[in-house]
Amino acid sequence: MKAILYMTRKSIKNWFLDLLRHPTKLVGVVLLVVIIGFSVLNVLFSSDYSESMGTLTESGVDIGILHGIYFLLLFFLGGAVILKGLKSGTTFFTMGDVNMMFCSPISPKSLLVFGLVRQMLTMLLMAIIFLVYGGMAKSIFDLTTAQAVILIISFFLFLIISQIVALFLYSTTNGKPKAISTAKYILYALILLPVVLILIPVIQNGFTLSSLYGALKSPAAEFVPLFGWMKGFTFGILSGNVITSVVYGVLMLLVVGLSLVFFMKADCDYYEDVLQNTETSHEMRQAVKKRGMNNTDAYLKNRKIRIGSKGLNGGKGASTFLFKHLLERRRSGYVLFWDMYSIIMIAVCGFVSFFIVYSGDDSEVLTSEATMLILLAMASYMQLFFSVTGDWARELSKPYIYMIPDSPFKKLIFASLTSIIKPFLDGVLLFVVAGIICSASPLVIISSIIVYTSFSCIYCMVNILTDRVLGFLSNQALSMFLFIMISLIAVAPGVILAFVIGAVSGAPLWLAACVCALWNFIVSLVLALICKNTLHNMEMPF
Amino acid sequence: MLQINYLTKEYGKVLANDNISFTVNDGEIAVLAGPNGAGKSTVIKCISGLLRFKGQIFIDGHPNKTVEAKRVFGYIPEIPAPFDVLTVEEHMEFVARAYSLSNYKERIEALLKRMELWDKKDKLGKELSKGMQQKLSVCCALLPQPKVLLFDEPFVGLDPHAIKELKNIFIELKQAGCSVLVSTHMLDSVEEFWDRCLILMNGRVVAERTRADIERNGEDLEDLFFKITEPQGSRL
Repeated sequence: MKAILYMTRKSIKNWFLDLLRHPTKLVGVVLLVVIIGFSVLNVLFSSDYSESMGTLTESGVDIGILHGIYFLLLFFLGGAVILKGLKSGTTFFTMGDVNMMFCSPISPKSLLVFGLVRQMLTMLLMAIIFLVYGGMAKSIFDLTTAQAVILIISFFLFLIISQIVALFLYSTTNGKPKAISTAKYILYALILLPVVLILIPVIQNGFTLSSLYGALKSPAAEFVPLFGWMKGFTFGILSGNVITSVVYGVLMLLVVGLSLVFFMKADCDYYEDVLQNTETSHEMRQAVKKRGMNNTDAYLKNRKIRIGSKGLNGGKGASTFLFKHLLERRRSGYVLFWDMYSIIMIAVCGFVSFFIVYSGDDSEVLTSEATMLILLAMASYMQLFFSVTGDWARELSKPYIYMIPDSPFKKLIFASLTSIIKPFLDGVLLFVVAGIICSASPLVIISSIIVYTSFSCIYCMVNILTDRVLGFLSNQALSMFLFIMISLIAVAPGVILAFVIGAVSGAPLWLAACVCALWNFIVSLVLALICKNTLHNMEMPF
Repeated sequence: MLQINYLTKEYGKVLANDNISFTVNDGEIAVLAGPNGAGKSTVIKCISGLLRFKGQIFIDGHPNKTVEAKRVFGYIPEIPAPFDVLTVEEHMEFVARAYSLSNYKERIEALLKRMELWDKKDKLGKELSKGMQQKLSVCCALLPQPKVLLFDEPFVGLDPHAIKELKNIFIELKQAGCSVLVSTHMLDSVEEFWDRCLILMNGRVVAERTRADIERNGEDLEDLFFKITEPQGSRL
């Protein structure tokens, strides 16, 4: 244990020293700390706050939405942690750990705990991004400061509990494929169960928004082990319901206690399982450091690829990159660029549009234009989080893009074109489907597609610009965070202008949105010109 | 011809290359030798245009980062980087198209057969062993028939047949009038065909010899290398 603590101490110290030697990284970290600090202060001091917790008051916004969002977060993040730990708890470690610590006389359980703690801290760092939304949640849902703080802390707590449960599951199932399958199915059932418990009252009481909110707030969903219990515990505290919070709190404590007890008793012979997964994970990390990886690469590494038809079928000079990317996407299992993200986005937006159109009473009816505008805003915002890396970033880790004899500007454009084509095709699918549901006019559908594509252009160029200006940051989370912030700043003027024009001139919403698209395209062009010689001045990461 | 004038490369405060100047003439094979961390790979990467640097580098009379220079040089990296989901043959097609080559199919077949990759032409990049990836790198670099070639540790990972074939390729390139620069630790592997040797240490060229110099002085290249790079009295 002493050796682990020594290694941890020295790693932290050397990380700080490295930060001082690299001013760009230091600026990024300071910026992150400032934003987190601002978010915390925003949560603590924004709007009027009360000293006492009180009960949840229902303002203009139904508190059921907060229940739903919190539940979703528990599932997506907490559930992902547990599933990941179950499937590949072996990626808690690095090759350095394998080579130096596994052969040493350190107990395997100590190592497993160390791996878990390190993993937990990384997760917490990434989850800090949710602090930014704390102040927003407070003002929208009329929460007191204490309530907002409790909500955030309980979410972080759940991430930690998820890691402990993942540790227990991994230690008891590793090396036993049947046990792993059983645990996975139980987990999937736990995730599906609340969906069913929420849908039943919605179907019984009518398919309306108010029945959905009611179902989200109902105690039934809190019966679901782990996820429901945590929600019950948290909202029990928030609403001042002592009995509920105590009951679910005790249940969660039991889960944690039993997980730890079983973990201590489990036979932890996991080194062989670790080896291959860690080697693969190491190669991926090296490639990520070199910016050679994006989601496609990580997905492809261990996947069986069907070759299908061969050959690039086009390309000369810089345009060869476009044809290569088309071939790679086809082999990655994409159909016309549509992938899992496309499905998720269409499912979420389709669900929302369906509810907006078919739920609510007559006084709440929105026009088709307004519905499409809401979807456009939602989809454009979601796109931001999925467009951090693209084919362009992947090319930078290989020498070809630097060496191929063509102008740097042409190589930049052709290598990043798929980052614009894909969102365009996603937009076509999404807005045509949504337009049919909402009975929107073709003009509204087409303008939505154009505006959505314009956002992809600007995100792509901001990505390239941040790489150029900030250089490559080895911390991917920090890099992503800065990309998101700069993108939001870049699109803000266009969005504001569109709203002002729409409100002042009385122009149709679709026309006002096109003003936003125009802004986005102009800014994208300017950024592309600024980055014209990026390749000429860049260094290949080694 | 490859001409390097006052090449300097800094990584922060570390001076990886310090005022390096040398020339590799047409039909000449130059070897960059030196201990680990001497800056050999950095020189190769600067010439390839993969790093920023101070100084001047001319390839066939053109600055190395110009399109004209890129058309005429090839680079074989130390660590091969194939595309995971492109087949061997598609890698070659990619290079042919990127370099706007014409009538390249026969040449692709000839190169792949020579490096014993023709029977693996439908294998994906991620399915290749390290040695095969290295051979593919060589094929891709040779396809555009460059006039200047840069090899960074080319023999690492190759089987004996491939090493023999690569040596034959070096001789053919020399006879065809190409300028070849090879960075290697394995001095004995380049013994038969080197024309100029530059020994680097701590980012500087500490010795430069031509084959004629060595033969005239009765020196042994390996002995010279050890004499220069080892501190006095440090041999075991």
